[in-house]
Amino acid sequence: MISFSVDFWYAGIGAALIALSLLAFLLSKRLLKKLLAFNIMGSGVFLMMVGMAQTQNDGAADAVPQALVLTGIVVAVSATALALVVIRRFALASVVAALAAENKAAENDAAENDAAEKNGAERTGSDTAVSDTTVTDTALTDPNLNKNGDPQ
Amino acid sequence: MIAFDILLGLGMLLAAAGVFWSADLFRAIVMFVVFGVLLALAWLRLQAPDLALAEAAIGAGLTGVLLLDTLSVLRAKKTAAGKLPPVDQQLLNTFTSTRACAAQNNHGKGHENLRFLAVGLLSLGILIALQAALFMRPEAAVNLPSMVAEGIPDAGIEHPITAVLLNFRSYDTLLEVAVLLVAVIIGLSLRIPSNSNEQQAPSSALIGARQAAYAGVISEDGGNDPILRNFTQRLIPLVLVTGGYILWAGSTMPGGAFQAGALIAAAGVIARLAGYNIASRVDQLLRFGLVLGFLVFLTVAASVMFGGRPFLNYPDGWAGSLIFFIEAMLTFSIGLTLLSLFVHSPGDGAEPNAKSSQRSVKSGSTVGSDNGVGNRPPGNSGKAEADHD
Repeated sequence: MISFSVDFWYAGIGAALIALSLLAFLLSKRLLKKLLAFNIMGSGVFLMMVGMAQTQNDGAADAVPQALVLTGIVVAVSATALALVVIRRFALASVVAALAAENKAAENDAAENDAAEKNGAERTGSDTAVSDTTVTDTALTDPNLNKNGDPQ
Repeated sequence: MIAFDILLGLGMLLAAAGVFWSADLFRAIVMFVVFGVLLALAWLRLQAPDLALAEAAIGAGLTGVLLLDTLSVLRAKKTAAGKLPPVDQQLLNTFTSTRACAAQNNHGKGHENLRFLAVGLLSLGILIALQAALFMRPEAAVNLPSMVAEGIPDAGIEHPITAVLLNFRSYDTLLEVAVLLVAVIIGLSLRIPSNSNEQQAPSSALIGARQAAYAGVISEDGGNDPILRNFTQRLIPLVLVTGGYILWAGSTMPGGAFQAGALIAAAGVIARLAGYNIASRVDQLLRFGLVLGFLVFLTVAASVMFGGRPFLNYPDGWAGSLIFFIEAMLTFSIGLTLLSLFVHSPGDGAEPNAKSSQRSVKSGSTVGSDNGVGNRPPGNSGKAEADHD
């Protein structure tokens, strides 16, 4: 029963690849590494699929699993490309979000200072909103540039 | 040859291990490309030349380029972030370096060991289960190769894999094209909007400036290199002609729409890396081209129903021509899809606004072999368009 055939060997390699990349997928903390592991896991599945089917057919080439795997390769690359797009967007968005949070903190500081200085001044609700944004803008440009540009 | 198979199999495992245990992401990606090339060889040993072609072009080539490009963008952001507050740097490190991860995990070393143990046991279990499944495999219930061989004379196409893809199992292929279309639509909708958006939000002007600083990466580096430009001008027609040939060859021998589409995408990627701003020239064509393959496929599939035939059941005698027609359109759309997932990735900075040329869509020239080799005057911006036709 256990006669060595090429197809069976590669199916076994596919199984080992699946296990290996599962390990890497779960342990890795970097998104790109996870994506690579996901790709290699897919390749392992493809190898098993074709190898297993052809082992059952005594080593004859089987067009059906091969065609399905061809489909799978194209879907895998589009999934990878999409994942890379999302990763890029996520990297950008998280940086921007961090900056926004930081700016907001600076804003609040500035607004508090402002309120403390002009304690007696009274403003209506809408006026408050408008002047808050203007304060925000001036506060944004100056203190932030100093804060972020100089100390590093 | 058995020794070769053993070496190749172990080499694949080693390459995969190299991917996972390289601390440097660049090295990991290079190992991934090596893995792809080895896998292509393995497909050859499994008597699957179609898969070898696809793996070499798509798995190793295109995916590798996509990964490297993303890495360069993320790294550039990191470099730009060198001038930024620590918060940003920490965030960016999450994507590109190990140090941040190490820092995060300092608090729970025992917890981490437990995690490693659990994951290791899980993987080992899966490995044993899969190998057991391989050894205790059932007998094949149906003999698929002989069924395919019986069907081939009526399939209108000689190559069994193309026949399976576009005739026997064309439903799968139709849905696959739909999946590609959905992926590219999501990808396009995640684009960073062009500069106008940054100006709309005045309070984010600073953010916008930083964003721009992060973003400018590939942009025009390659554009000024005369050797790269000239090489690209000569290479792209060749790649496109090869793509056309592979598409044509797919009816009788290994090849077909997917491999050809990957080559066309590769031509576009090369052009993009050489600094041609393709996207700005073909925005309209792009939108149409992306859906073209799916629309044609669906139209053919549905229109046979008017003749009283089931969905996707080609009329007798027409199968060969219809399949080739569908394949040609698919090649065009797959190439554009893969290309635009690359070109329109967020963070490229250079988002196209100017549509410098609105060209009419000539669906007949999808393969590119007819105009790819034309004499285009050097230094003319028209060159870059060669890869879309």
